[in-house]
Amino acid sequence: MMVLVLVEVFMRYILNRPLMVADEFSGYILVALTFLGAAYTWKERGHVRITAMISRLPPRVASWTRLIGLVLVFVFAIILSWAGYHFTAFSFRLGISSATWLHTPLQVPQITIFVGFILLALLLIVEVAKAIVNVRCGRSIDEERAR
Amino acid sequence: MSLELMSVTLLVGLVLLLAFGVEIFVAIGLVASLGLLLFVGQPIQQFAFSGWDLMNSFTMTAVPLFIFMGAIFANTGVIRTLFLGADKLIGNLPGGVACSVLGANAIFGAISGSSIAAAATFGKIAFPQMEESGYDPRLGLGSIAVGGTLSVLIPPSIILVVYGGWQEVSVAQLFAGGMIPGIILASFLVLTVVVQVKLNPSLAPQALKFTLRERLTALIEMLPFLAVIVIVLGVIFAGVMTPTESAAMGALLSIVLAVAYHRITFAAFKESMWTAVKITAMIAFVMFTARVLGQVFQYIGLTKAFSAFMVQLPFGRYGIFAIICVMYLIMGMFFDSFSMMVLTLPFVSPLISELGFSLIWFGVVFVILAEIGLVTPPFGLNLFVLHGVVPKHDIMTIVIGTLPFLLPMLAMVVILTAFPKLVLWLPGILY
Repeated sequence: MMVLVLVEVFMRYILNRPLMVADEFSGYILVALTFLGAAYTWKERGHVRITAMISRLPPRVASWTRLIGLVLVFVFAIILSWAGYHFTAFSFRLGISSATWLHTPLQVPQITIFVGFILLALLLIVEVAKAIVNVRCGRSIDEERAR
Repeated sequence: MSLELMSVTLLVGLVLLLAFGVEIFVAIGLVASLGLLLFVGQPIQQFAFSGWDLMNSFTMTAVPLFIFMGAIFANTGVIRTLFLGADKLIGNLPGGVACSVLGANAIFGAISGSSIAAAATFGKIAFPQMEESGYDPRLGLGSIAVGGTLSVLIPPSIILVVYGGWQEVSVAQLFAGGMIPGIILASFLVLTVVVQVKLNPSLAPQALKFTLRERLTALIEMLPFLAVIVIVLGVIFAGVMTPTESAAMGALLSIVLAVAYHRITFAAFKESMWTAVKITAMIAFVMFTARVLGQVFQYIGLTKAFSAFMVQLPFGRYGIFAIICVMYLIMGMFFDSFSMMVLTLPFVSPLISELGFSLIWFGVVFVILAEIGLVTPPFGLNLFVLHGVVPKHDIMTIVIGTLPFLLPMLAMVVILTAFPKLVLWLPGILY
């Protein structure tokens, strides 16, 4: 991930020499950075949510609400993975390549979307499992996210 | 199924999911999936497609680069130099340090585009100094929380990049549009501090006096930063580079500067990169799910119905715009700026065009409205971030401290509505 950003910064410098590559590749790198970074962002509690109401619920109710919420997130991660799979598979089948002189096969950058969603789904399995254990032990699972 | 029923189902679902604290992108995404499956009958691949379509974009590449640049400055302590410099220059005004915070924020805003980073950093650097010299915590914390929002308006601004990428409006023009309002707002805010202290001198101690020599030294110390700003913005405004290219250059310059001041550590470097990844992914996920939801709303005809309904309201274009503003002010209490923007744009932007307002102008006004949201409870991000940095002060202290500053911000929205030229003049002569 980190290397990707670094490469990206350098990419921009290639642009000063008029190569047509940076324009195209920075987009691919951004896609990779975003989707591969989603799971990391999750882990770091980087995705925004509105806690104004849930933080006012009694702790037990809040824990259960959060558990259901996490399951929903997992469901959506599955939906995304499925979408990512079909999207990438479609490009593979047709062998689509970019319309620039490089003719980059688009499956290569597009597969990062699929992989990113799968990573998110896998991480969510762990999160849901952890949450279930914590709820059963009566611990709060919704650590205050001071954001 | 009728339009009303479909819309109500989707909107109620969305509000419920959001209220129960599900991550915003998931709430939007689940509702959009429901819409796609039940009402639109389009394949669910839309998600991957819109994610690809939005992020495979040269414009959006500027987002991680600008975040990285700001983070380098924030993580390497370069900001301290900036704050001390600003303190020497305008610290002799009544309420000196509070003014300096706002001034330094305005400059920092021209380096970074992130309000949260600014609030956190200044909370750490400036507040201890204020407390030591006897400032009222309300004034101190209020000015820090509000000052953070200046970073968002004064270019380069990440939210304007996202707005440009979403609306397919020129980011360079948006940046130019934010410039003058940003400077005016910064002076308004400084003025607010001065007036407050004049009215109630117990808020702040007697401001320190600095000699001319001290001020000159401060100016020289600040020169490298000012140079970076001038270069980064200059090449954009002169049309030499696109905002993305300039962002890349700025990112490199920030590293060079940090190395030159011997402030950079590998940890800080790594941390800055991760920050860039984290914020980009957060924004992107809200963006592409909201794009799909927007398509669903468009498909079932809600967008059009909403626009038609609003236009026939008997309040005239300014009246309708006022309604939009009030809606944003209320939404801003709960949403972060990015989520609020991408959720509402599918509805609001056709309406804005129909009412004959410029989309560039609206982008800038939206940013101010969103900034107000950043400092209004219960979900003002800056308030929480600042509270996290200065935990010993109650969040209410910060809220009360920011109240007086809301007045100039609201006034700014009115002024820009009355004189749209303030936004449009600079992009007009540059492009």
